[in-house]
Amino acid sequence: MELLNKISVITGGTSGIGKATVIRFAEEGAKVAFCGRRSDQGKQVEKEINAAGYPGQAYFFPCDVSIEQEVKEFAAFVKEKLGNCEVLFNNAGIHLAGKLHETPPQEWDRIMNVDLRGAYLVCYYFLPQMLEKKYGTIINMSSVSGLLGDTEMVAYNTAKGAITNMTRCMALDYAMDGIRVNAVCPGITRSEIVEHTFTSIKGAEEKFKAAYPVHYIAEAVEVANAVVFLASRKCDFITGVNLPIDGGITAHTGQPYMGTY
Amino acid sequence: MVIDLSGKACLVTGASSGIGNEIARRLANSGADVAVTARNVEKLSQLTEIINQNGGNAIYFPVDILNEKEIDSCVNSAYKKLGKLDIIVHCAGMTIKGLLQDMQPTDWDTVIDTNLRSAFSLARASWKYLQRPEAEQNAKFLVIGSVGSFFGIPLSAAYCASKGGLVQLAKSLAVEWASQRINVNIICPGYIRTPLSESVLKIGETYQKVLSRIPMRRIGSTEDVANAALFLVSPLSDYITGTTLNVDGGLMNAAYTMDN
Repeated sequence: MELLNKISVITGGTSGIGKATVIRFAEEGAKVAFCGRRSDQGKQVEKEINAAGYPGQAYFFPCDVSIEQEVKEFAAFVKEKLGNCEVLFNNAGIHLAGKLHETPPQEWDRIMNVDLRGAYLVCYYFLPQMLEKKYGTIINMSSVSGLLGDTEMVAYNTAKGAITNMTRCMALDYAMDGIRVNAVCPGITRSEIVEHTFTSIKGAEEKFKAAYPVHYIAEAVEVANAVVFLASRKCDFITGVNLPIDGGITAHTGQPYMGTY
Repeated sequence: MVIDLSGKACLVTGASSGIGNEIARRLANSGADVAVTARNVEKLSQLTEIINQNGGNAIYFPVDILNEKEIDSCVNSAYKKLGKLDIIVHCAGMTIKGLLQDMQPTDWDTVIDTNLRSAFSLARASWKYLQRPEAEQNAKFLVIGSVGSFFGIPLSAAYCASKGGLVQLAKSLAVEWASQRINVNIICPGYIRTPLSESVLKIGETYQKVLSRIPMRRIGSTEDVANAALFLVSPLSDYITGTTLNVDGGLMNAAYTMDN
């Protein structure tokens, strides 16, 4: 077991990649505190995971990462209940589509508050615990959209681009404190929101499959596996990395294949 | 996250020493059958002996990586002996140091061919064995780049050109082979203690200079690289292809580091 008794924190753990990672961490023996905005769903997920008989344990705490006081309380809860946090997966995030002139300031602020400032706040309140321990590993949730541009997703890509560079800078700042900082950069990954997009927009799933060189869409557990790897002692020399889990899409220039000519 | 590679058949080039040697042993420890290649017969036979004594299954093929025919026949023989090929790890690499203007064209060719052309030949020879139908687990083709894939290194133009080329080779192969379920990735180690780097690192002043540029302030071990390699050849990374993974203590993100 890669994370036996590791005191771990996962934000946005009630669904999607976050939930898949809570499960993988529990399988690896970790004590996982996870948060989310939806209390009922969080408690349900907590119950479900703890009933499954994994070697680890899950603890839900209701918290919106964009609200400073709630993050502060979450950090205090973890410290009191489990001890100093050793593994932090900064997963919580929202998505927003649209060109810049179609993005009103309050929507711009909303995504920056959750995706970027939320990640900052969580780091801000959990880092003292890692510094006290002189050990820790942080995995931020970036995206392929944090590495390259997308059409009509300017606010999201801006927030994720900032996460990519925040990851690099944090890696440098804490390299000598025993704290590694990396990010995962998933491409499209199956989740409730993505499935909803596929059912509501005709042909969307086929278009996405066609765009990805592997021609299939990742399951959440494929991202969770990479998070487990980055959280483990298997990569003690790896820090400042933004790791794509993207079926090859960022390896591609995007030029069409015209057949052999 | 136990990486279990039982039943997998692997081929590792550059296995006589350093990173290749470590990766070969770790693949065997994880249950895989391993074919190892390099030029040095003695070292290869030592390596296979160690693996087989520890309950693993290893065979070796001495190969001159500059010789395409030898690569072809090595890949074919490995396939025949092991019954299949699931994982290729290309670690063979070398450098000849010198200022570019003083470098003999034959030396340039030797470095480029050993590091880069060999990957092309290996990919060409192994492709027919690596394609996978959907019902089977993905095949993996992993190459080893370098800090020189992205940064210039003095007296190492040919080395850096070859390692930079490997990154783009890996990306292009990843895109071409994605639908055949062959993952292609590249690990770019920073400074790792190996026989190749030892000559550079044993010079006291250079060692201090190098160390001062690494945010973690330590030279990596071959274990550090092998851990990443195991992840990238395992089914845990099936959606990761065309990716560069730096194993470098933060080196390649640092414009400069903090004073001690």
